Amino acid sequence: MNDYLAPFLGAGFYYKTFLWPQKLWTRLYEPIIRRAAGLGALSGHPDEGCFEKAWAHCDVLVIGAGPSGLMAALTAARAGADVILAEEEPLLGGQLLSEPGVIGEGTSAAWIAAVEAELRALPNVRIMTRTTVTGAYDGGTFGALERVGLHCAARADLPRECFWRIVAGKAILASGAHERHIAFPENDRPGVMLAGAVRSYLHKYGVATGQRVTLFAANDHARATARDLIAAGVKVAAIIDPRKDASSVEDCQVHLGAEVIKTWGRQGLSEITVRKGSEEFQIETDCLAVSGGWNPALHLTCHMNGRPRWSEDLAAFVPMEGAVPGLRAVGAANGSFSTHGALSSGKAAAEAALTALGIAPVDMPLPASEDMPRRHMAFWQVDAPGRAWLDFANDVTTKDVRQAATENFRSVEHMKRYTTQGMAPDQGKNSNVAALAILADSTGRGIAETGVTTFRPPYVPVSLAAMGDGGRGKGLAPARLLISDQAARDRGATMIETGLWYRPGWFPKPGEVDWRESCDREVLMVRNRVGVIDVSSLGKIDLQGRDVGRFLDLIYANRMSSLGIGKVRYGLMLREDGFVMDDGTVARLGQDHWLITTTTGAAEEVLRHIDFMHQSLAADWDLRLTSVTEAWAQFAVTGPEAFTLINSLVSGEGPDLPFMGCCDWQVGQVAARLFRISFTGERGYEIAVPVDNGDALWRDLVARAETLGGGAFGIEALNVLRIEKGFLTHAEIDGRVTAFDLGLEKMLSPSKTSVGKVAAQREGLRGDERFQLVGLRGTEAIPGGAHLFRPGQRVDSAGLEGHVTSPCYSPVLQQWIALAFVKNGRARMGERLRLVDHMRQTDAEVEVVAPVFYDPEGGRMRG
Amino acid sequence: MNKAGLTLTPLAGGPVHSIAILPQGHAAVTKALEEMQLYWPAPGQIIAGPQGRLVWSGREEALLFDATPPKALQGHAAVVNQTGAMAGFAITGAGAPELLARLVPLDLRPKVFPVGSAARSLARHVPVLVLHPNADRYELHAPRSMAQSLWIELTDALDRLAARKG
Repeated sequence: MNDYLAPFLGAGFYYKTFLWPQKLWTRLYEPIIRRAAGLGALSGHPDEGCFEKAWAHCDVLVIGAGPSGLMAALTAARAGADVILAEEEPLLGGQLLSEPGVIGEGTSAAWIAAVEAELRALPNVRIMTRTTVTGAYDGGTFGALERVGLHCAARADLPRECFWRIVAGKAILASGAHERHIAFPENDRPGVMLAGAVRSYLHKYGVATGQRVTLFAANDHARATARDLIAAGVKVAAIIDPRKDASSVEDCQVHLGAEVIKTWGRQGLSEITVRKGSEEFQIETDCLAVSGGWNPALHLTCHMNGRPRWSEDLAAFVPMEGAVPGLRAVGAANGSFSTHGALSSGKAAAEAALTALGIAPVDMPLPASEDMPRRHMAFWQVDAPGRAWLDFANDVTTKDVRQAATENFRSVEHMKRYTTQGMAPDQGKNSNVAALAILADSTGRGIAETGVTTFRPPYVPVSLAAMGDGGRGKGLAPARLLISDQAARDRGATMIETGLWYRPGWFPKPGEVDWRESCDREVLMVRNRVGVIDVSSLGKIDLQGRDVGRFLDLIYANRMSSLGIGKVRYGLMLREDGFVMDDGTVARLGQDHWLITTTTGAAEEVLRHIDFMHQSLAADWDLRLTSVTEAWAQFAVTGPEAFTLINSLVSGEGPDLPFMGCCDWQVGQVAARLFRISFTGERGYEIAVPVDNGDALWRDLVARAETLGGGAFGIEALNVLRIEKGFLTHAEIDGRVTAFDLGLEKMLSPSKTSVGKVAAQREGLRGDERFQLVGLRGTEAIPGGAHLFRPGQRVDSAGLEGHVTSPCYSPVLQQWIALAFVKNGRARMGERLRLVDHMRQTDAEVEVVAPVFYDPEGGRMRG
Repeated sequence: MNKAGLTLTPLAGGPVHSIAILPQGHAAVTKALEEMQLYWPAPGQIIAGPQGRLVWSGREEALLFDATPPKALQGHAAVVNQTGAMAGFAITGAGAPELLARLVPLDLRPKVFPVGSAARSLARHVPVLVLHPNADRYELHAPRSMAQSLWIELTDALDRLAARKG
């Protein structure tokens, strides 16, 4: 039907027709058009196939294993360079497989076999067949897609494809050339094909593409197709050559100065109409072999913003030298179309690469081969009525290109987008040059002036599954498991991801079906008895040296150098821009030995930050820092019975450790460290042991806690406990808050300098306009991320008064509480605000209160 | 695990200590190490002694495997016990680099990464110390917490490699 409607379906049809009403485009027009175009739909299921990703390294990467590629690989390999030869076909030989001839003393087939045998025998050569180099990137890196099992029956364990990243010292592009079509009316009829394809069928597969084949070509090279067919016993009906001065030596009818102006046939080609001067006649034929010349496959040379150069001599674009550093195009890819040109340029490029790599080339002769000049005429289209196709995949005709020019889409990039020429899976490999030649003609410019569209990677379509291999499900990121992971799972813990770590969220008891039931019980357990939690995921950094105190003064806002041995201090770390980066504890283990902790989520960021500060501001100071996060297992024991539990671990008197104290300790035979710190507001200890002892100690601590009416608790309960106390996490320290916002400005020591201190004084980082940390109380559930407004005011961004960072239900206070940031919040205690969460359909009222809800004097923690 | 001519082995965890030389500490550290017939590794180097081996692991830092650090280091280097902090896996067999090429972006060709080399890198997303102690043996040492993830990555890659060869 589209055939009959064709006169109405020109370029820009959709843009012009479906303008109104706008809403119908996505709902009605687009689905209908897509269905009519035969576009499929995705299954919605993840790809279950097995894929692979890998790296490879070499001195010389040779892209393509035709005559030039083989010669380059051989030259480089004999000199001892590590060579990777990537070939997209299953067999080596490239165009020689389609165009056999004589190389040296024997056939091209014999030469290929000898070169392949030699290359395969060399330990420094890797031959990668079914591998297409897809992109050229910085630093001599190339992407390549290998079809591993895609061409075979599917096997669960065999990768379908492998996406390679190949890092090469030098690269040689021997990717050959693409034959181009001629645009003449009805040139899309089955039976019309490229002359090179006809020849490939004949020589590679032993298939005759027709009973009576006709050749339509404007170059000498394509004549070989007719000669090969005749030699194979296939009838060649005629040769149609637009050139008047071409030869006519072939043993068949040759029409010079002629062109095909129409094709006929219902299911396939049966006849063509030929115009020769003023005469028109029919030729009965079932296969029309067409050749409009050759385009070097130079795409990779353009992947780093290079543009090709138009060669009038070759009537083709050729690569610009040096467009991709370290890459050189050879053979047909560089416009050297003869076999001799391929062999000699391949050898020369390999020798140049070897010399650049500091490897001496070995002397080797160049085998003799044909070096026929490629006589041709630039011939793009036949001037005759009817649809002449350029882009066979996207159904773009010469008329569409002219239409684009008429409507002033004169830039090749605009023409491409207006007509969709070159936007099919072949990305214009078949049609680009012909289309822009016609555009040049329509706009009265030369081809060089018209230019080409941008060639971007990948050169061929690449499955996302291959590029993203291993990134599905749990493969996305490594899982970090606590040393107590198995012990916690044995007790039925529900694990929660915190960063890369998996931590117990809660430990459900029989009968508890909702996480809140477990969480509330665990909170009350800690408040009334004792709880145990693995806190090993907190970052731990060991610092040693005489200048550590001085260094800590620099990286923490508050003073650390005055800390006594055996003491622990809470510390606040600012970024260089003055905003809060992290908080944690600093313990002084000895005169020159310190240990700092970071939050779980910021461990890497803090280590990187202080390493940077060490190297850039204190490189010659007497200090070294070492991450010991993985070396120590650390467990918090907290609650009114914490001391009893700790005491039970040792015979005799337990440690008489004051609040914020630390000491070396001994648990059985194991040298441990004990810290008197608390993140729950209850009396708390943290015991650290070498990590190999962690599993046993965690099990022992939990068992002892259970005899005291306590037990293990998870991070959900820990979260409630710390919110009740107004302690911070990265829900509050979200990168946008200052010490002033947190009410911790007094921690910025006035008597020393520290990272971020000056920047923290900048205008706008303190004052009434800042969102300040407060507490909220409510009678209804408070959702995290909810926004706060004045009652009666409009709910929009202009009226925003604050937002909720950490909400919870407090089983101790038996109400909903939250930490939040409210504009000028510290001056608004007792004020009622409207809480709105559009995501959860919440609209409630809350009261602004101080951010410490429980034991504000801290007696329970210190006592 | 044996497949495709390669053997994957989790390594037994012996003592490991990190040694970071303090400024001015080089002479004393060199002297202390001499008694163990070890010397300080250059970047990317493994030094094997009669007892234990010293592996470069960062700026002015090395890891001492399978030996107790000499007491004479005190005051001249920050010595930290890292026993249990890392999980090691050995890949043995002639095609070990082929397996590692599935995981590690490094150029492991013998002329670039000869026997006695060490490098910090990534195996997929897992940070690793890559060692090449013997001709047909490579080792990956990763943070203990990520050992299971690394093992899964290694065995998956080996399965696919074996399928290609089989």
